[in-house]
Amino acid sequence: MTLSELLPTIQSLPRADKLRLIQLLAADVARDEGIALDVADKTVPIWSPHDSFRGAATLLQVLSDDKVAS
Amino acid sequence: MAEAQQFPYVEIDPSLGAASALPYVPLTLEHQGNVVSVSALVDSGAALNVLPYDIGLQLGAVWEQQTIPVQLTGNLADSDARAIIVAGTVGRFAPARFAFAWTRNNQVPIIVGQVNFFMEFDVCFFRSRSIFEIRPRE
Repeated sequence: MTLSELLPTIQSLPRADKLRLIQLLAADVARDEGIALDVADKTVPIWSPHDSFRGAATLLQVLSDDKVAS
Repeated sequence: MAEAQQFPYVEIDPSLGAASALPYVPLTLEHQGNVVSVSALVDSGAALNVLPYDIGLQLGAVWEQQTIPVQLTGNLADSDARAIIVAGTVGRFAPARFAFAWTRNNQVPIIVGQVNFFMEFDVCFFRSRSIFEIRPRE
């Protein structure tokens, strides 16, 4: 498969997957070149939804609607 | 004002001791007659409460019946989430209504955040003593 065939698929990936792909490619190249690239092949999960304000607003609305209904 | 109840920080990795201590609170969740006892991360930096998929299933929730989507961010952005209201009991306090973002993800702890855990309870962290206190809002 050529790069031009892959590009449309890559471009349709979600942003998080694009970032993961960049990390994987960087890690692959670094490994081939014998370069230590610690950051590229490590995943550091940060689960805290610290800025999910739109979601928080949705939950407040759901609570409000539920209170009115009950 | 209700008297506060004290809880200890929980060391997640015994080999790392205090470096891995986090404020996890015992929480009893109830939904449609199903009761599940869990441990929830009290996360003042989280905008909202998060419920992992399997815990929702244990509570008898049906994904297709929860129709209100909730937009999450960060590592949770790739997983669908839907709003669900669950009754929760903390310590000896009266049950409160909690709205959770029920995510299809299972790699996340139960998180209780600003909406609406911190709107129902006042929380005070004493990290130097590895304890935190919770009391219901006035």
